[in-house]
Amino acid sequence: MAKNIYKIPASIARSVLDHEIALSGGGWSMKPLPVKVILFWVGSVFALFWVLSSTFLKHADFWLLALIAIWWLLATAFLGRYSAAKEMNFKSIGPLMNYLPKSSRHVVTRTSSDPVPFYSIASIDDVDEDGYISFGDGTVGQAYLVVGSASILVFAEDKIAILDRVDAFYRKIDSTVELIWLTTKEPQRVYRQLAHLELRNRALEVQDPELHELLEEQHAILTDYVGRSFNSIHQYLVVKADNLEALRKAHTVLAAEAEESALMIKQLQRLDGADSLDVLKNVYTGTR
Amino acid sequence: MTANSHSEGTSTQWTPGAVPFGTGGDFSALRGGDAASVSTERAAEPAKSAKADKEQRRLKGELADYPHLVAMKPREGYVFHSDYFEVDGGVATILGYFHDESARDEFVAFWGIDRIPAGLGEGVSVVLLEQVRRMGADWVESHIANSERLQNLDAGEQATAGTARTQRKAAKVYSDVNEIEAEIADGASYLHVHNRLLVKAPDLDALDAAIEKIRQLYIERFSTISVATYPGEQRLELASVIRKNEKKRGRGQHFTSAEFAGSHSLVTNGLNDPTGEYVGSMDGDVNNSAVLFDVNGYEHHVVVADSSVNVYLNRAHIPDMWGSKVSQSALLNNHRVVHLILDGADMDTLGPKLSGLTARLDMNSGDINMFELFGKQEDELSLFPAHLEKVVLMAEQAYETTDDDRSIIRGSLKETLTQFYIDKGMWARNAKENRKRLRLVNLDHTHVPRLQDLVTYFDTQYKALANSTARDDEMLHAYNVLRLVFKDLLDNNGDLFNTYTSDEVDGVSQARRVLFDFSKILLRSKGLAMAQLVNTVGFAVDSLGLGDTVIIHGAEHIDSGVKGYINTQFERLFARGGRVAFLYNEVDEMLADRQFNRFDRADWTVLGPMTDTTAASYQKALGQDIPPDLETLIKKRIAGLTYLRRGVSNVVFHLELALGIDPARAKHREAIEARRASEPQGARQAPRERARLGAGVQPVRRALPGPARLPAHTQPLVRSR
Repeated sequence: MAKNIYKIPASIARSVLDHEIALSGGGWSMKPLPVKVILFWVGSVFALFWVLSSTFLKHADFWLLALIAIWWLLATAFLGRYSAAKEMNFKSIGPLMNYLPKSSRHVVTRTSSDPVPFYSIASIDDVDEDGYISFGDGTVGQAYLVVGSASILVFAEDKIAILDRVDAFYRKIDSTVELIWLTTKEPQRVYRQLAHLELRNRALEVQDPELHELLEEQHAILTDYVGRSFNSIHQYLVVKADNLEALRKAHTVLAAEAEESALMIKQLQRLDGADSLDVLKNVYTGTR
Repeated sequence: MTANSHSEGTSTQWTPGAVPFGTGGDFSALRGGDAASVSTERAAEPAKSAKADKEQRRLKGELADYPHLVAMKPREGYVFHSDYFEVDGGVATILGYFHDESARDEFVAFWGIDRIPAGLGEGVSVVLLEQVRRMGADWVESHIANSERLQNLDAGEQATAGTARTQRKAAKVYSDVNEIEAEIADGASYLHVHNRLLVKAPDLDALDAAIEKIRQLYIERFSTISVATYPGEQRLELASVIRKNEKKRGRGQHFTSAEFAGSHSLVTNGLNDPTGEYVGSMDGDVNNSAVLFDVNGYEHHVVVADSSVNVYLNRAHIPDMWGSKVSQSALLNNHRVVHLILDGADMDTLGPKLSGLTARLDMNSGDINMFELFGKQEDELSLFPAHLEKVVLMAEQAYETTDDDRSIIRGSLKETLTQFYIDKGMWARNAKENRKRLRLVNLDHTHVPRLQDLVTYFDTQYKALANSTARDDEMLHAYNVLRLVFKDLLDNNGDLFNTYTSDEVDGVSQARRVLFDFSKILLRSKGLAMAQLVNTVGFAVDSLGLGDTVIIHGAEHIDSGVKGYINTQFERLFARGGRVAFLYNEVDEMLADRQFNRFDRADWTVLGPMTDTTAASYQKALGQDIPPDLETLIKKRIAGLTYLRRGVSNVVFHLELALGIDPARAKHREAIEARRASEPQGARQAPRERARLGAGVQPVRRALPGPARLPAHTQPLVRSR
């Protein structure tokens, strides 16, 4: 059922580590901290003691040990903090290490260069003529052009119908596929209008030059003005399925959704190979 | 990606009108056989050791050997930095979305649309990515159990050592989880969602500015959602765009399907008819695109009402511009058009003259004899009573009858008219039996009696009654009225009504476009104009058939007394498949005239800006509340703002009608005019003839480079009255 107000709810995928507890005792209490932060501190302090007492450092001077201890605690405080990405900073250490070698920061994609670095980013094994995509992780996929009907200008009852339809759609989708929705802004496409203009021209019973001129004006407006000046929202869907069977199923659900009602998906068009690559190219290349 | 690459590269799949799944069949049937067999093999043996897989997929040779990679790759390569990367001479970054679990959101339906940023500056583009996977039943089951355990733990914790903040958070989580469990129990699915925003900019400054702008936008729109990069992980982020959700950085978000529906963001593309033409640019909605509207796409009738004028076109009314547009698109679709002009619209300034197709009748010069009947001979029996009704109605335009004398005046007039036609040898008593003696239609125009012939009848009858011994005062009154009314018509407006039908009228039923101009006669007298309208309308619509259109310019000028008659004529037209466009130069007048124009059932309606009261009465008349955003828009009273309603589609856009009068193409049109002037007269008269003879079909070509922007006069520089 459609709701009045929506939210991003708390997840049920929580672990004990995320559980926040407040350490207190003897009239003194700390601000609540997630278990994993507390464990991180405990682990870090233990490690500090071990380093100071059991490694070669145990022979060092006291002031040096104190310095190391201070540095260690500061580092722990830093790494145990949450970053803007809502993760503890220590999780960034791994990526940082990966980031350091020059080869991982510079990826060359000239046609004569080694394909592996680019493949490691765009790991797609093949896109065939029909637009059937084989991903590097063994999954398969298909891209579509989609047009919906969501808008701030829909009437209330249509809004509810759309919301219910979307809910129902995600109930039908299997857990063996992932739907990647891409939203881009691109010049408006007018090829269908142009084709119909030509059809109209051919069907014209009266070959009057002024009528012909009207058609030409429409043609000029479509190609030179609409096709160039309007950047409208274009949305695509890449279905990424665990196997071909799952892809077929997802396709059936999608096709049925588009055919049965225009509420969630007003228009659904399978993309062929060249178009699919065009969509993906938009992700992997810079502004054009 | 460009429009061209799509339109040109995909001609096989993207043919106009192709039904996306019309070819039917299942997925593999649509695919090449080889690929199908290969992938079936893959499906059959999904489980391979990851290492072996990796080994196998280790690519050899050079990038050029892999065309699909070449098709996607940037020109030179990438240079990754901590929170952005360089690509193709510009920079880009992938941002993740973050949300505080304890924040209470109040998002409206379709809040996902608000994630699409706008106005990020020159050269900046974004790709919004959303990846959804439904979680399996087992996963959901185990996590619900786990979540409940945690909740119990939490409850104990909060009771002993909870602070206000933790308690609040615990309460939020508690209520969320309860709701999720209830929804899952009701059949909702549980979804794992990852959102990313890829921002591309020409340089680092533009990128920073764009990100700052996006942050501000999200604070305005959501206040609880922020964006940030995973430091030093741009490469991983870029690589995981097409990876599974579980391989992506971060935990993403979880929604039930009922909750996720609220963030649905597949936006409408407004009006984008495959057969459409450009009529303006969309306003107000999220997707500001060009409105490509099939003006000719209606079956029955359409209504346009707007009080604005176009200052560049000699203060032409906007609805008249629509009239010209409707007319042109009907002509281009091989339909005939009749314009009934009541508001002084000058069709020659609102579009090309179309002199080869147009017949013009100035209703101020009385081109049609009010006593002549038009139609087919076999319909004579029904034509005659309808004709009497018409003359009665015309007389009533000159004299306002009261409830008391209406029936007797009508009766007397009909009686006299019948006698008149019998005397002239056109009609006979007991007509059904005397069909051979009827000669109502297809007469030479000069053989049809005129007004001056009728007036004497009333005189004679009046004198006879006055001198009669059995005196009937009511009858005497009736004939006196009729005598004076028709005498006045003859003496003062004889130029209009005491005429033979002109020979020009005969060509009218052949012309593709006919203009009946009542504007001047309206200045003379409204009653006369209505009488002339009644006199003409039957004739005007008589020859129209399937798909042909009558366009009424200034429909608010039509007197309520004659609407019934006009409606009857239109009903006949509709029965033949004809269509009507009602154009009003005032929205309120259009709303008040609902009985006549039935705007609530129009195939499409176009309305100009409205006032609060107009908007309220519109909603009342429609019996439907307009969405608040839409209402705010249409009440803005911004010049050129147009509200189009067609079925369930509502579009508000800035009007930019192209009517074939673009100054940039003026030279081209002059050349056409010159050519036409030098053509022999006969060739101009018979366009149909030439079409039949097979004047070669020329492809639409680009004769002149079009303007980058539309020229000034097609711009909606209009003002509300």
